[in-house]
Amino acid sequence: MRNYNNTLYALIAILVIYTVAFVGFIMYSITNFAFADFYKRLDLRRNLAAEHMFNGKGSHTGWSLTYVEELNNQREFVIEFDGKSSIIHTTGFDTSLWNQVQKTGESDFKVGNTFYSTKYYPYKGKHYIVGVSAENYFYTHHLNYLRNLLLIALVLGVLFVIVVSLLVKRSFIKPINELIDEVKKIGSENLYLRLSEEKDKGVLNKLANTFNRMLNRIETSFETQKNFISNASHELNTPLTSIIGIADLALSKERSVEEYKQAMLKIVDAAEKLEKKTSALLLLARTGYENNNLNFKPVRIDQIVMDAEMTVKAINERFHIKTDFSMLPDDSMKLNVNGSAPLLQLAISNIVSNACKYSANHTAYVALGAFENGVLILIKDEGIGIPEQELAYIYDPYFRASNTANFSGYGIGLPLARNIIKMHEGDLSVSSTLGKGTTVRIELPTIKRL
Amino acid sequence: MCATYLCIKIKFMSGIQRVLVPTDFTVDSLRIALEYLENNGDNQRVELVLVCGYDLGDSITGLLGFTKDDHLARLQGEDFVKGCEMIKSRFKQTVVEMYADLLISKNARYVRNYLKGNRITQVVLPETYGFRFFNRHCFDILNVLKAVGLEALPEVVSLPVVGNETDNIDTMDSIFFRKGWKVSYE
Repeated sequence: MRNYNNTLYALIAILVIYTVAFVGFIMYSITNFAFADFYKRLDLRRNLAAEHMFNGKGSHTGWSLTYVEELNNQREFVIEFDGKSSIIHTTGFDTSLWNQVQKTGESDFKVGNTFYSTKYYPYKGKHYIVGVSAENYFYTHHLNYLRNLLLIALVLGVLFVIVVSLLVKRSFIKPINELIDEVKKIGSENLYLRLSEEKDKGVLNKLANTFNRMLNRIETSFETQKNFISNASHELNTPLTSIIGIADLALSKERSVEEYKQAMLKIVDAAEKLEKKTSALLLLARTGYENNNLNFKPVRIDQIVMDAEMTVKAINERFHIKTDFSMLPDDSMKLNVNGSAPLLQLAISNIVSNACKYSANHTAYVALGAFENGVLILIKDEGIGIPEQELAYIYDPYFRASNTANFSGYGIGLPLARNIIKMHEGDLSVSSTLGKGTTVRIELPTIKRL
Repeated sequence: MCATYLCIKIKFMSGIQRVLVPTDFTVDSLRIALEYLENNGDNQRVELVLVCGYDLGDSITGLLGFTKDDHLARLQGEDFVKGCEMIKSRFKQTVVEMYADLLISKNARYVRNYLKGNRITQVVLPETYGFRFFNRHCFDILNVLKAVGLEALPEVVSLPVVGNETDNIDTMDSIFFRKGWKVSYE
């Protein structure tokens, strides 16, 4: 930030110096031009006066030059001087200026506002200096006006430059500060927040977009872990309870060896189910990151759907899944999706287990079809449905609809699935009728064949 | 793509059947096409023409300003197009082309000439299927086709397609979960 400030100030300083130099140069040039021009005019009148004087008959004072306009305060004078440069006789010349007059030629000089032009004329053996003096109206009035104008323009210009550059700087800093404020609000408990992206902000918009995508990845990661924890704590509880129950019952009194054997067999059976569930859950908890890189490869979506169904059955054997693969395309290349198999499996198994969980018949109906640029997966259930006014909130993490009181769950599965589908450039949508059932539609883009 | 109008291609008639399938541009009506294709035993190559009746209206601005393609683009929703694409990819070997068209008059002579001009070789007439048109200019062509006279029609295929199931939550439900699919991997 400091470098930016310094650069800004340096630029402003350079601009100001340039403008001042420019203004000064204008003033200097015009002034010089005005002086030179005026002297020339004085010279002309002086020559005319000399001409009149030596060749005409008029007197020293009061004669006018008929064809030439009279300048402001114009005075003509003649000085007679001797060989030693001392004045013998003068008409209307201020003798204190005698030193500035050149005795052998022409001279131009200025005293205050009055300009003098003199020339030496030898006449009939005597030395004469003929001169004209006048005030430069242009210099006194117009140049002053120009000088004032340029000064005001300079001041205003500098002010303008400073104000505009500060405004521009603030307009760049302000949205960044807003972004900073928004990011401060995002923490591990509200990772679903996203930065606002407006279309017309250029580079900052891209920054916000990149940030949002990063948040998508982080949120998916978080939610996968939470999903695993909630699933594990719920699903692993049941077999453990039954193992403890069987063991307690067997130990409650003396029993025959046969009865103990039976109890042990039941415990082994329950433990094996527990092992199956744990490996299925661990499989789901793999977030698809190998060596900390998100690994996207072409995967067969039909294989993933079938694997997801197996996983769901492994976790909860009361669930039933009916698959309709009748619309599968002839060409299996149309089922290739660019993505991460574990993540997609996680998403689909979450939706399928939701479908089974919230229906009385614990059955989910899954269908798969391929259209031109993508695949369509339909997961349908005949369960309790979602109330219409709550449909807008189902993607909020931890949201549970009002009719789910009798069903356990943490409200993580659907937002997680949606995030995963979004990461694969796909679309997840839900339609539902309260009391009749729910259908989840997932569309994923397939790999374009070259 | 379903939206190409009148693919005028020179074809050898013996190879490919051109089949007229009535539709109301809902995904549910694609079941008629699916029934036909599933019962297409000898893997005959077909071109499907999905036809709906449409009244263009009397306004001269409408008639001059809108082409048949404009009307078709408006009538075919995204889901309908996706359904058609799915059917095409499933029956890639048999369905050579599948597109939609409009029948703009109920006049018998027009219908006869339409069938002749488009070289339709088969007409599918679903029994007991009720079309549901969501656009008020559309009309049902089943009666129109029947009124032309069955002897004037090319080969007629009658299919027992069950009427609309009204409890579909998602429009795409209609082409899945029909009778006879009971695969499960459990």
